[in-house]
Formats: sequence, C-alpha cells, structure tokens
Amino acid sequence: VSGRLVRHPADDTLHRLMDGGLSRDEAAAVERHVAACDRCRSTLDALERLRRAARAAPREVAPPGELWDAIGARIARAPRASGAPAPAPASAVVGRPRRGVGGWVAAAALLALAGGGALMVGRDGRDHRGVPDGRAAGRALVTAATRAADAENVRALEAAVASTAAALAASPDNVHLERMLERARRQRAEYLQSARSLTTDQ
Amino acid sequence: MPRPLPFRPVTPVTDDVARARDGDAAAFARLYEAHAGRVYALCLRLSRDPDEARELTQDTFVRVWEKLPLFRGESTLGTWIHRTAVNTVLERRRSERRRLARVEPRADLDALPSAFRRAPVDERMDLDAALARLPLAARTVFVLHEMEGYSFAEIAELTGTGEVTLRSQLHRARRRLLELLRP
Repeated sequence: VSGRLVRHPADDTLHRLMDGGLSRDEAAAVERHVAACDRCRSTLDALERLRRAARAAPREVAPPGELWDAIGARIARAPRASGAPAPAPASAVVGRPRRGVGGWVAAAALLALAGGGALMVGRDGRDHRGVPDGRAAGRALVTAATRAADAENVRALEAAVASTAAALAASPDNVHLERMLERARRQRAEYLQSARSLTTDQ
Repeated sequence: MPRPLPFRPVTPVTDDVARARDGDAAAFARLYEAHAGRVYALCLRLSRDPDEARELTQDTFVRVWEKLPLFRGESTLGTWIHRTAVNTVLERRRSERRRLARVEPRADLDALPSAFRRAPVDERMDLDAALARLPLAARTVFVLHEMEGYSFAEIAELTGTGEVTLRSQLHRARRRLLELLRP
C-alpha cells in the first residue's frame, strides 16, 4: 500500500489503519484515499463508531448478592501462596492448619457450615462436623474435652460476630458485611441453643 | 436482575491490600466490593452465561485471595485482579475446549443482564446482544482489545494465539458486529 491509491484499499487495511498497524507511508496513502472516497470513509466511520461504542459500554455490572457468601466460605479454606507474610493471630477455628486468618475468616468458615451442622472442635484438634443436636448424641459426646472445645467454639463465634460487626461499622454501606453479620449472629444463636441442649442432657 | 453499579473510581486501597495479604477477610471483602462489578461484567461478556459468570467471578476472587501474598504492586491492584479474571476464564476455556468444540455455543440473550441488553451505542445498537452472537475467539479478542484495552501482544501472551491471527479474528468480529448492528 504505497503511493496514491487509485483502488479501494482492502477492508483489512482500513482496520489496520484504525489500529495503527500501518507504516507511516502506508497510513498516509490510505488516509489520502479515504479523504476522497465516500465508500471507504463510510466504512472507517462505522469502525470508529463501533470502537467508541465498545469503549462506552458499561464496565461494571453488580454481581448477585450471594456471591460474596460463597467466596467468603471458600477463602476460609483456601491455601495462601508461599511467600505470605507472617500470619495474623489465628482465629479460634481450631483444628485447621493455621493460615494466618483472623476472626473474619472464622466467620466465613462458620457461615460455610450453615445448614451443614455446627462446627465442633475436638481436643484432638480436628473438626467434628455434623454433630447432631439430638439428646442421645449429646449424652455420648459431652465430656470434659467437649466442654473445653465448646467454650472455644463459643469464643470463635463471638469473635466472628465482633469482628464482622467492627468491619460493618467501618464500612456501613457494605451489604455483604451486613449479610455476613446477620448470618454470624444466627449461627451463634443456633450453636448456643444446640450446645445448651447437650449440657442439659448431661 | 443485576443492576449497573454507580460509577465509583477505584481508589488506592493499599491498607486493605496489606491487611488482606495478612489474612484479614474483612479487608478482602472491601477489595471484593470495589472490584467485583468489573470482574463480573468481564466474565459475563466472555462467557455469555450468568451461571458460568458467577462461577468464574467466584474462582477469580478465590485465586486473588490465594495469590495476594505474591502481589507486589508492579501494576495496580485493579489491573492485577482483571488479569487474574481473564486468566481464570481462559484457563477454564482451555480445559473445556474439547467439550465447547462439540457444543454449539448458546447465546442466552434473555439471561444476559438487562444492564447489558440496555446498553445501546445509540438508538439502533445493542452491542452486548450482538457480541453474544460472535464466535468465541472473535468475541474474546474484541472484548479484550476493544473494550478492555489489552494490546495484541498482551492478548497473544494470555491466549497463546499469534498476533496475526488475533488481528484477523478482530477484523472478523468487527465486520460481524457491524452486520448485526446495522439498522
């Protein structure tokens, strides 16, 4: 594409002109042609309108509100990349490898268990999920170790509620935090009710 | 239906980045709040499927959480998260390439957010609806280059496709879009 163009440039050439993909001489020749050619100018105008439209299109769309809940639950379990700085004080989510997560992640972990049974912490340091609320199960499970674990769980739940509430106070417009706080409180209430039934059965 | 987010410039959140790096999930929630709209929009455009876009957005932020300790600030956090999202989409696509090759891509236009369907170029154009009708490769290069501002070299690195091929796909995408958007 050089010199004065007497033929229409190829369609791709107009694209390359717009993308800055032609040499200076090529671009000058095509521009001279376009200036004198209604058809090519019209094509180039359409391409430029399309580009403007693409750049003006919305860049953000609000994701569904529940999406953070799922992410919060997953990051509570997610490993961090190596090279991570020293972890923050571990939460009371005992039994998991300490990953430098704080009370907020405890909240997320607890929320992850919503509907899947309460989180119980055993003396052996492993999670004991799905502990039933039933009295028979309670009689079998309530030991000194279980009571200690229960106290630890309550502290974790309290810490989760407190840290979530603090985060919400700092970001009062954050609907995700608001929702997590509500769920953390509900988890705490359900857990306390469940734990009470275990101890009264003893 | 998802609603468009109000314009909110992404301001430096260095404190939150540092806290999130240290494992503070509340700080990470604020980072999510600041960047989720852009990530979700990108995933929606590239996948055309709201369910898949939700999964991809989720995967992106979990990966950001996992890799955040490695973020050194060479680019802005927004750029880094965006690139993570693109990689997440492309990696899933690669893993499903064989399946996608067998299945006719569906353009579930009714399921696209109204924010997209009502984003006209002018009275005649509905760009996102037209985009959803493009073949996968053409749509990808158009979204990344024309909408998100990636260079051909960057897209080539991300996709493993040569720049000449990318340019050709972009030209085809533009031609097809102009046909679809013709009044």
